[in-house]
Parts: sequence; structure tokens; C-alpha cells
Amino acid sequence: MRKIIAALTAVIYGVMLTATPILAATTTIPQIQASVTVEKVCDLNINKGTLNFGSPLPGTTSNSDTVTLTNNGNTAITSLKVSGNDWSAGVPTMPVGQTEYDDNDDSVFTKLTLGGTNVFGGTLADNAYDNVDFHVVIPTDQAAATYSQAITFTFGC
Amino acid sequence: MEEKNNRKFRVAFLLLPALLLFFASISYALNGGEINANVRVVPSAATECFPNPFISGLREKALTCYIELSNFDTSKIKVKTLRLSLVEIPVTPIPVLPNSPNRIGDFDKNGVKDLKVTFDRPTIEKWFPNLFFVNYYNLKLQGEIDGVPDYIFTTTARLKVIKPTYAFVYFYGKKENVKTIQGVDLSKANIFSATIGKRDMQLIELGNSISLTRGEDIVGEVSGSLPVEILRNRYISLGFTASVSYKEGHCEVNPDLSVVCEGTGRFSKMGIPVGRSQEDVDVRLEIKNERANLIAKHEGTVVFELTGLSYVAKTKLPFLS
Repeated sequence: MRKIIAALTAVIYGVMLTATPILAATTTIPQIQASVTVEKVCDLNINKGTLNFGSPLPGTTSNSDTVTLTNNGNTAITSLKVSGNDWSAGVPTMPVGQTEYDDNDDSVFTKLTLGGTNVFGGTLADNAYDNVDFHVVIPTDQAAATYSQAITFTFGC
Repeated sequence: MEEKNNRKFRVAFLLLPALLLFFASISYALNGGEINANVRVVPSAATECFPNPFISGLREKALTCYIELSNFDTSKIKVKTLRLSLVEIPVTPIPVLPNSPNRIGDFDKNGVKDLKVTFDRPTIEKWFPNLFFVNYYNLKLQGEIDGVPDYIFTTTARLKVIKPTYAFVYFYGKKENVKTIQGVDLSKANIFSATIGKRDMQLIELGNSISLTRGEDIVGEVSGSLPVEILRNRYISLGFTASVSYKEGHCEVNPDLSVVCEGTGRFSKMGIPVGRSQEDVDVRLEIKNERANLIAKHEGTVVFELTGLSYVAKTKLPFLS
């Protein structure tokens, strides 16, 4: 291995020594045009990986839990939706629509759907962030159990 | 030495991609995509306690409560953890009686299993030392459930508590329309509200007497839940009736001569046509227990005389104290 490093070092020095007279002999530096293309980065950051709605009774609404979405890319997000699946605790389940969200801070909640619905009108400007409040409305006859649900944000620019 | 250095190179060679993968996975988990939501729906409990109304002064030993969990197995309630207390008044919570039945069954036939437990009634009696005649309280029942850790369920049951002291007069109408009867200034009387049928009524405490006052017409079913419940009492022209105390059957006499009974009473006829100065009213009182068995029956005639704006009972019911 040492031999390899030594050989590499010799090659590098060799190149440098060869190049030096050429550079030294040059009297004018020609201008060259440089260009770079910064690719569009479309990225959304979610500030947490888990929502916890506590231990509500049937017929009540759980506490709210808030998610902050941040446009982490370098361009506006022009398509932003949230969707979910049915709540499940094994055998007992609960419809996805029992989860509701408020993305406008106006206490008007929208039901979560399997197909997805817009968040913030479907857009989020570059570097912008905003909050989405979630809660769960527990049906009056809901079996007692611990349920889980996956909530998915899909976005595009 | 050379072999040792080679090993370091190999380790570094393998470690670098692993670290890159690790940081990449963190970055991936934080950005966009899916989040997990969790909610624990806890058991919902409901309870009813009997006897209701709870009549103070009876020598019964137990208050019976039926607890049901609408969305969980009722048999999972840990009986030893149950505690009964009051919402309105701070009291020391009490456990179930040592001989509590702790039976499971659908006692109210609503398709949901109930747990039947009993609590010490004499202790509960002491929770209402300042009660005057009647008031509503909320019993609070709390307990743990097997299989539901870190959770104490709470349920309440409304209880009407009666502490009879005097005979009472019901009248229907506004207080300001009622004048003094038998020297009692009604403007200073204690007035209670009650709902009888679908109409609100007021109760005026007049001491240990029977006095009836003119009121508005009442037509229809009348039922109350005072020491004597008056059922199916149809008024012809004047809206009034009297609740009476009695001392037979399943009753007890208080030191002030008022009588407390468990059960219901009934006036089979009560009504005085407008304009007559005097009316004899046949009164029949049936006393029934909670299972609707007749345990006492009284009959008599009361003469009511129109005095000013009021009818006044000139004769006492034979079973009055």
C-alpha cells in the first residue's frame, strides 16, 4: 500500500513539475467563460415523525397535535396534499375521515381522506413554513383500543 | 506494521459508506413523506345508582350502582379499585361493601353488560348534612380496568336526594299571584322548582299543614318524586295538589313528625270546580315499593273550603301525622 501511495505522489509531483514551465512561460491569461446550472430542488420538511392524540373517550374529540411543514428546497412547492389510511388497532378500525386537519388557523377542520386533499391551497412558497393542526373525532361507539394511522404528505414543484 | 495499516485502510474504506448511508437515512426520515399517528380510545363508563330518589333517613344498608362499559368488556373492571364520591361536595371516596355482589349481567336490558356493586349507605347519608328537603347531586364513580394501563375511568350518576321535613304544597302559577294562606307569607316561603310532566311547577314549603291555593289549570299526567309521588292526577279546574307524609308501610317517622316513605303514592281523584265555596275530595293513597308492589293503602275524604283566593283543607287526611 505504501508503494501505491509513493507512486501516486511521484505522479502528482511529476505533473506539477511538467506544468510549471508551461505556466511560467505564459505571459497573457486568456479569458474563459464559466457557467453553472443550479438544479431545482423540491423538498418538504416535516418537523416530526409521530402525532400523538392522547387518550380520548368515545364521542369526544382528541387533543390537537401540530405539524410544521417547511419548504426546504429552492423553489415554490406547487402541489401539496395530505392523505391517510384508516385507523387500525388490529380488528377494530376507525375511518380515515375521523382525523381532521386545520391548515388555516381558523378552527375549520377538513376531514382526512384516502385520496388526499390540498394543504395550504396546495402551495408553499420557497423558504416558507406553516402549521397544520390535526385532531381525531372519536365515534360514540368506538371500541376501546390503541389505534394507529399513517398520514402522508405528497408534494411537487 | 504494514498489515496493521492495511487493516486500518480497510476499516476506513468500509466505515465511510456506512456513515454516509446513516446520515442519508436520517435526512430521508425528516423530509416529507409519511408520519405515524396514534390515539388510544379509552373505555367509556356509565353508571346508575339506586334507590333514586335517595330518601334520607331510611334504614337501608346499601346504595346499589350498576356500571357499564359501552366499548369495552365490563367484566374487566377491577372492583377493588372502585371508589364512590360526590362531585359537588368534597368527601372521602368509599370502596364497595365487603359483601358487594359484584355481579355481571344486563340488568337494564340495553344489550350492554353491567357490573352490580353496592356501597355503604349510612356513610353516604352523612354526605348531605345541610340538605333541606331536596336537591340533586352527582355521584362520582372511579376505577381501573384490567388491560387498560395508566387509566382511571370516571363516571357520574345523578341522584335526587330527599330529606323530608314537612308536608308540602304544590301549586302551579306565579308566586306573586299567591296570597297569604293561613298566616304564612308566601313571599317569604321557600320555593323549590320541580318539573312535573312537561310543565314546571313550584313547591312552597308551608310547614306541617295541608293548604291548597288557586292556580292555573293543569291537565294531564302529573308525577313527582317527593316523599310521596303523585301519579296520574288529573285536575278538572284548579291546578293544585298536596304532597303528604304518611307513616305506615315502608316508612319511618322523623322527630318532627314528618314521615319518610320509600315508594310511590297516588291520589286517584283530586279536583275542585271553580266557584264552589266548599268541596269534598275523596283521596286514595297507594304506596308502592320499587318493584311496584302495593305495601300500604289509605283512603279518606278531605273537605276544602274557599277562603279568599285559596282553598284550605279543613280536614286532615287520616294518615297524616
